Amino acid sequence: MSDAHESSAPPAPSASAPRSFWRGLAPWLALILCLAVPPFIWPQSWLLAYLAQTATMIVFALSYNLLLGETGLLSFGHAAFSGLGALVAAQVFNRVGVPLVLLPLVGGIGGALCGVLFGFISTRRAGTAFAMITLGLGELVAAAAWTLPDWFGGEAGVAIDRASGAPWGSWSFGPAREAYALIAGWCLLACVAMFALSRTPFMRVANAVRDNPVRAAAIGCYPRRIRCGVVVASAFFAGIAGTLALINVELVSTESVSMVRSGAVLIATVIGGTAVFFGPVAGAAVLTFFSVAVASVTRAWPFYLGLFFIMVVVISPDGLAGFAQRHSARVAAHGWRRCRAAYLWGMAAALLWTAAIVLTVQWAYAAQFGVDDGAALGGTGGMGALRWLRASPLGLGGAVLMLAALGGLPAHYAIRAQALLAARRSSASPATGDAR
Amino acid sequence: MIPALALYGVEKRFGSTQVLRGVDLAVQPGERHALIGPNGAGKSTLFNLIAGGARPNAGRIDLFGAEITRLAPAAITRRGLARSFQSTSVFARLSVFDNLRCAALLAERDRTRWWQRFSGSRTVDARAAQVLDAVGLSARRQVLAGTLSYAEQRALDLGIALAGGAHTLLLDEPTAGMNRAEAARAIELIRETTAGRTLLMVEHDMDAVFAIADRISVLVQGRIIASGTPAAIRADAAVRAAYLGEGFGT
Amino acid sequence: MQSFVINLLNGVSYGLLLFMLSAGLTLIFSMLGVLNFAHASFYMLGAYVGFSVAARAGFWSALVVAPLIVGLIGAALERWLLRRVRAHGHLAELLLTFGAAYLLGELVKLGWGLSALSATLPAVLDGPLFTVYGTAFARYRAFMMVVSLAMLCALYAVLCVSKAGLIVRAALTHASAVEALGHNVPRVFTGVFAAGTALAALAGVIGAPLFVIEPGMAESLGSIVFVVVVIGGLGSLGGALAASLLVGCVQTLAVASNLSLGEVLSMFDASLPAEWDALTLAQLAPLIPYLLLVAMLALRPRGLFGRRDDHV
Repeated sequence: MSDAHESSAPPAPSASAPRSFWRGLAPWLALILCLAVPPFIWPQSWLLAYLAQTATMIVFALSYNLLLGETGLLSFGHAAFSGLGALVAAQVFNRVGVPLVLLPLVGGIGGALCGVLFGFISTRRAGTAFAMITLGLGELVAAAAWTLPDWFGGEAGVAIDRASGAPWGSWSFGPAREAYALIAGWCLLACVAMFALSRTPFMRVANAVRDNPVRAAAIGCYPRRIRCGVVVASAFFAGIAGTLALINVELVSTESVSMVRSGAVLIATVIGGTAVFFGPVAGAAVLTFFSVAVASVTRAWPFYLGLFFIMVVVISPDGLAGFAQRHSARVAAHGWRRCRAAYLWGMAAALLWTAAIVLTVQWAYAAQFGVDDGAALGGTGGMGALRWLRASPLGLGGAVLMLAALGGLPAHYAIRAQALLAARRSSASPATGDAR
Repeated sequence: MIPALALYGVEKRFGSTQVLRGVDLAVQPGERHALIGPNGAGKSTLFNLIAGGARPNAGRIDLFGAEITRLAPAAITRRGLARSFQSTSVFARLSVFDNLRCAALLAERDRTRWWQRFSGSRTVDARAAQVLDAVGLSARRQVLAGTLSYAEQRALDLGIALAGGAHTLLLDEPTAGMNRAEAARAIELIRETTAGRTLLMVEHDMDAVFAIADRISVLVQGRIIASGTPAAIRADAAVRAAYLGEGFGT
Repeated sequence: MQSFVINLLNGVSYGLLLFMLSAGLTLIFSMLGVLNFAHASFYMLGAYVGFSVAARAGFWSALVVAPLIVGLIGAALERWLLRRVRAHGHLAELLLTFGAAYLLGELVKLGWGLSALSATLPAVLDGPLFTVYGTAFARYRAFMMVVSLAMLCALYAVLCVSKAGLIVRAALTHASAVEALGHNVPRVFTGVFAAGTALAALAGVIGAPLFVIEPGMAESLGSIVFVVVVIGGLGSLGGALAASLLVGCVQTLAVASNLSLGEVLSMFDASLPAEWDALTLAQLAPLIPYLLLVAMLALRPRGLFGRRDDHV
């Protein structure tokens, strides 16, 4: 990650400075608005819980990106840091009674201490070996949480009571609103801190270690020390994320260190995009959408998530953020009118094929799991047509095929329009070493 | 006078293949020393050993009298020895300026304070800007290093080696892949930027070698067969037979 | 002590099963440079497909058909997805296999439901083979060992002796040169990937009667296989064998023992609070592979037979 942009001709300095300032500020404003405004418009507990989960995931994914995006370290056991940090925070809260406002900091320090220990072990190797080591360590912590007595409070986990801590002004943090305000506030604080960290020379050196470890060693850095340092920083923020989750549900259990959680943050970060700072934020929003919103409608949500993940990795490995960047650059270069055709056809094809996939998947899940899914489908407004489709597989198959075929037509036009655009681009710009 | 870089009886074996069979070399401070020889003679291996990327099976390497034989590459760099690479090795996803800033931050002889890794340092930035000018890449300051042209990347590679303020430089085939004009420019650049520093250079381009070198050593089959001034090397019969060929020079 | 020999043999058979998995994984890694995160998922898929085939056509045809089907699926994955992602680097490939593992888990749940299935043994393989001091060694375990060793020998023969193996070994380090000689290297890669996954499926069919078939089997065994590969040294088949046997024996012996942690520690004159002492080795058995990993990393980071990495 760097503050440089693609090597298209730089725009005139005087016009670009305020524009790029606003462009840089926009994601921050969007984040603040999304976290702060909805609770006032729809003051309902499910929305607060959803936003709290999103905020927690945002911090978690950003901490993960310190490892993956900035230093090139793929970790399969990141939940160990967040869960253990939350455990430390819970035990400290219950025994010592730290004010709830400062509890995320305690969790962060707990996570960082685990980061020192695990980082020392896991950074003895790099690359693929590092990933496997984190897998082993993550499994160790997850298995130990089930096996070893009492340190994780047994099967019930360690619970806290938010309201039992010292009050902050008139707030006791018992009500969900107050807890959410604390969580959202800490989320923003952590985001700002990680953004500042990502601008430091230390992170540039971590980027150098990511890009070319041999050369990094040749210019005077010890790659292992840098990697250890990043693991500790990442574990600190993961501990904060874990504590935010603790504050939200008032419980830390074996689920907090599970491999499912580690996998979830990996999926969120990759979907969002690792090359842009706000990529993981988008990925966290997408993951929470799937795991809460879609999950409340159908039990097939993990399937859709997995499918979406694979699509992102194959079609746009730099994630949603990278996809957005590339295409907004293209629209800026060619103008909206010329690009319009390609994008509209593309969207039409995507919608049709998505409909075909959803129908197939929902039918398959209904066939296997019967009752539950039937309720979900039938309950959404009593769609008679859907019920008929479910009843007759042949009709369903026909519908799916028709949708797939229909989707092929706009796809064909979209590809043609893309080719036109590409041809126009290569004829318009002289061959002065265009980027990539 | 203590040589800037001294090798005593350095040997290296890969499996059963003996690549270096006892290399003795001395480079004086401020000298521009070229290392030539046929392919497979062991030149890149020797560079790797000096810079700490591998360990010799026997022998000793000294930097200004202090032994550096078994040190890690980072430790050697911090003592003031920097290298460039035969196949261009830059940090592709960092900007040109950040490439130089990292090199300047890490290898400064008067060590930067640790907190400057987080707060930034004006001296480091100034040094990086100075090297940026010296290698002629000021116009490409914010460009990602991976998108530079080949010649620009070679210049950046040299800049990274220079940015740390090293007093001794190892340059591995700096004009590889360049045509005559580019190579001449590259040699000029090297001559300007390494004024006053010690330089050990591996090269195949004989014009470049004879243009810049004060002394030349010839490495053939893992041994130095001759070492001296360019004129002496040109006239040496053994060198002619092994490498230069009869039709070269006088 | 009577059962020690039997437990050791059981451990060896479990270790050989682990080796079947880790050998395929090591081959794919050495060949394609990508660690196939979905390897254990193919093992699981092999077990499920073998179960369905065995229900219709018997155990022996399942032994042949299931690996074929899963090998085809693996070939399809490599040909259409992995190859497209290869241009983006090893990290993208690893992420794709991670996604494939996730999706395969969901597909298995979709196809066969959530509950555990139990495979049936053919009558000829059921029952004890011999007894040592009163404890029996199961016939099926012996069958498992025989198949593992046969597969090992076949693999060795193909790789080291045959022409196809020669091409594969050459393409390992000099893919473009081999391609210039006229061999279809991408097809070789697909073939190796398919062979690796077919091997995993075979291990699944064979291992299924010993362990219960359930959707979580990929995750639990998969982590152990990856740990085994790291302990043995990434890219080394000999290391994979040694580490598989080590982990298999230690874990089986721990599960079979009646010792508690307190008793073990008292041998070193140490002790822990009461609740920790009461933990039996059998309860700690799931942790053992990971503890071995930590110990190996502390003592010898490159693994048992791994090459020494560059210092970075």
